[in-house]
Amino acid sequence: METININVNEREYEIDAAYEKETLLFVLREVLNLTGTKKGCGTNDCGACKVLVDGKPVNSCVLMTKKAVGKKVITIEGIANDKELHPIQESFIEKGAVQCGFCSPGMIISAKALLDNNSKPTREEVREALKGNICRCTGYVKIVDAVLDASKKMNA
Amino acid sequence: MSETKVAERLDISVATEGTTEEEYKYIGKDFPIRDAYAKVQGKAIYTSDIKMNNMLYGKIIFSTIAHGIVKSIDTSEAEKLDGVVAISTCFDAPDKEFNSGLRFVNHKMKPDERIFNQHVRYVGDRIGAVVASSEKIAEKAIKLIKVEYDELPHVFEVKEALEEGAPEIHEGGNLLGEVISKAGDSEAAIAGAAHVFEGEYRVPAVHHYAMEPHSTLADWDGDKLTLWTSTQNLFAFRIILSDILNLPINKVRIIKPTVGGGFGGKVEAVTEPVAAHLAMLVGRPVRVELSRKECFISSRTRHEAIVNVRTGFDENKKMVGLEYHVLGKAGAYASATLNVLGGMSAKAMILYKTPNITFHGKGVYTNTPIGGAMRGYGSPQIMTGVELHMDEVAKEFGMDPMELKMLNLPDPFDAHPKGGTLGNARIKDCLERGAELIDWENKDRFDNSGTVKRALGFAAAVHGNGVYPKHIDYTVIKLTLHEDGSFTLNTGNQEIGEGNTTMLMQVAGEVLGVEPMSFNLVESDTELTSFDLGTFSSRCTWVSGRSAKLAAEMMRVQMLEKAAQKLEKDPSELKLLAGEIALTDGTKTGLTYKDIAIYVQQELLEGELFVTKTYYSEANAGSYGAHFADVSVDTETGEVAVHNFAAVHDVGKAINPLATEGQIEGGVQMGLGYALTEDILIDPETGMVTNAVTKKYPIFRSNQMPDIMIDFVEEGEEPGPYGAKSIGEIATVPTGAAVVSAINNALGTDLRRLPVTKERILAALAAKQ
Ligand code: FES
Ligand code: FES
Repeated sequence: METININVNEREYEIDAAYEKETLLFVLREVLNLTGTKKGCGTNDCGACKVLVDGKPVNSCVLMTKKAVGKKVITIEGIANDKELHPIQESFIEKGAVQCGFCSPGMIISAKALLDNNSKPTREEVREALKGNICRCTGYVKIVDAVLDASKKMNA
Repeated sequence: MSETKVAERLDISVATEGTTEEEYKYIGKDFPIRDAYAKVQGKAIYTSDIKMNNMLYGKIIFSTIAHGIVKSIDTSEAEKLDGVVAISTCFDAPDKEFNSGLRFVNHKMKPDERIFNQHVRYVGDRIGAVVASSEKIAEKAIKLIKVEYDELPHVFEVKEALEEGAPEIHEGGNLLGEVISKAGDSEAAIAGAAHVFEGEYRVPAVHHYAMEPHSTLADWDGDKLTLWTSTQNLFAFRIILSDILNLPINKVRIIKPTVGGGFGGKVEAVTEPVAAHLAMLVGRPVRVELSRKECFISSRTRHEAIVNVRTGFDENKKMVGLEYHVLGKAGAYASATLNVLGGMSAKAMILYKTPNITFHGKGVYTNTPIGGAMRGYGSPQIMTGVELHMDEVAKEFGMDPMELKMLNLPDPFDAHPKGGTLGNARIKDCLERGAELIDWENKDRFDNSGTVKRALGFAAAVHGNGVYPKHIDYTVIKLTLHEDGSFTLNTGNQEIGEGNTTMLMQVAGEVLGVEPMSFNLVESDTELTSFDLGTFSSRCTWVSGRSAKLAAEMMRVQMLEKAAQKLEKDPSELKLLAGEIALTDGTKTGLTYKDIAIYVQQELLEGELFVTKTYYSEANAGSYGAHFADVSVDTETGEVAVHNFAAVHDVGKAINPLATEGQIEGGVQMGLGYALTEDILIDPETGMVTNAVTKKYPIFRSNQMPDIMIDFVEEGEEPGPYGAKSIGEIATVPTGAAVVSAINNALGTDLRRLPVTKERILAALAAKQ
């Protein structure tokens, strides 16, 4: 069997090369059993499937796995540090940004991409950075609160 | 002592004793949703995250025509495809009819759809399914299947569907049924009124858009069927499946994993009958997950409706009569249409104050996607109608709509037009506080000399608390005390991501004096928990919350009795204090919850200490709310921006303010879409949904949301737990009308049709000139 390697959450996985033509979302969920990344639309419109590819937020439902080869993929499972939650995750909990939680992994990925580039965003900048992520439960209010709160923590 | 005796006792002696508002430890405090820790790490398990050995994937074959009879389905090419395991169609599947929105055995809901339908009634009707080793192969196989239809004439609009000679969608005609409810004599009252008004308002079909698509995993072991499914109507699905698959109820087990939102869409069985049938067919686990497109087309929608409002007023601008005539678009199958109309008929009675009210609703079949349960259950339709109507009346009277509404909205404990009272109806408080938050007094403060016009608008609304007295509404809470003093709370009450189980734990924690999150929660498994009606009808706080309070009070009685026995005291001398037994003055006795558990198990030989409370709701109440929108409209482009928003809700008591706010914020997001952008569009030729993709179905995004100011009116309502009543559904009900009202105020228009798109705004402005 021909194989390819992909790097997810700092770990190398060797998978069947046939998966090259599958979406990264499919490989994460169905092959690697990393089911934290969600499928909300499958059409590049909702952000539930967001992962970081070389630090950039990407919708994995439309990214062919081939394109992720040789890059570093970070999924929601790779955000926390060992046993410690990332401050963004903590703030999502504390600020009530989580309801059904289906958008949360993608939201947290988008938030991380933002804060990694802009550690002190304004409320408007947060809203702008999250516009590719749909949430049907929260009206985004507490999600934006959480990102601002995390930014404060991370700068402290 | 028997449970009933304990219950009797606690209602007199225990329930009244205890904490006052200022002393609440856990009620009225912010709690993140119980499972947030798992959710932020991607560790919460939703249905499609579950994988089983040997699992297969099912994909549904949908009708591509709006109306007709399936003549033949040629599966021969598909069967040859590697990985295809089985194909089932309307010609071989069990064909017992069911109603997808059933709630309990013998619930009167018209059964008119099948797992697969040979008589197809809309584009998206299920006609068969393929089971394969992957979704991709199943999809490929479907493309190879040839379906022949005998096409029948179709009809997509309600008014045409009711015309003489319209194509008959179901035997007996397109009028599915009527709901009529009357108080007093509105006809005579309006005929004799000094002022009479009438208007027709239209609201669209919208998609729930729960972020998690419908998904079911079914497994059949030859004797028993087990389903993991994304549902908010767990126990009824067991009844539906047992009925159509001819299995005893005790051979159907349904488990609800974490659910990624429901909003009513998951009250109705959509993927469940298909997955169950396929699993039984192949004897292996089968997962059926809808794509987003399939959710748009083939799950359920909010009912599109035409709402006619007629009112009569006396010379003092007091309403003397009110009539609603509603045409509700059922779509292809009955589903919950008549129940939604029933919901409307009940709410029609309790917003405006006049003894003469008529509600007349007709449910109409059309060859379009199926209307079903959705957050608000009929209220958004009629409240949008009546609130836009009241704006128009105020304009005719040359009055501030605030003044007109305050004159005609009820006060607490006013008479219900059908007898009894309205309960602690706090709509006027909501309006007053909202007016303050948005500064309604200075509503004309904007400089509107340019082409962008800005204005405020507002709307009042009401929704209910549970189903009582329409039909049975009950839940069961079981509490067990363990040998280390910890508790398990067991319930069939179905969490779908709004925080209702967090609320139950707060209530039980308050009574038992333990940290709410310390409860172990066993939830929503038909085999391990007892019947609960389901997560709908705004019943969880009101019914399940009350049940949790009663169960915890029963547990408290039991614990104090055992402690008293051990300490040779009278229970009345003791109280529970954060894990310990104390004298009523707070002095500790040295006895802990753990000691009680062990004493009961090892000295009294009574095993574990547990209580079970079956609670039938015995009341209903109105949860009122008012929304205020500050909106600007670009008269050149028709573009609308919502700048500020205020939402004030009559919640009785916010058990969890953080979650209550979250409900309101999410409700506003959904309501903004209803007002401005969301609409399931049907091709007038083919009946196909033309915008079944997120790009063409604009959902409000984070950068489009206004700031939302929230306030609660917390005046309590009995018998809600700690005076609490519902928020989940009412949270979205007033939004649509508030936004459209603001647009009308900005433009001087009388827009009556939602969503108010750019095109409709520009057309209205052109018509004005
Ligand atoms: S699932 Fe990828 S963007 Fe929606
Ligand atoms: S929390 Fe449910 S979709 Fe965001």
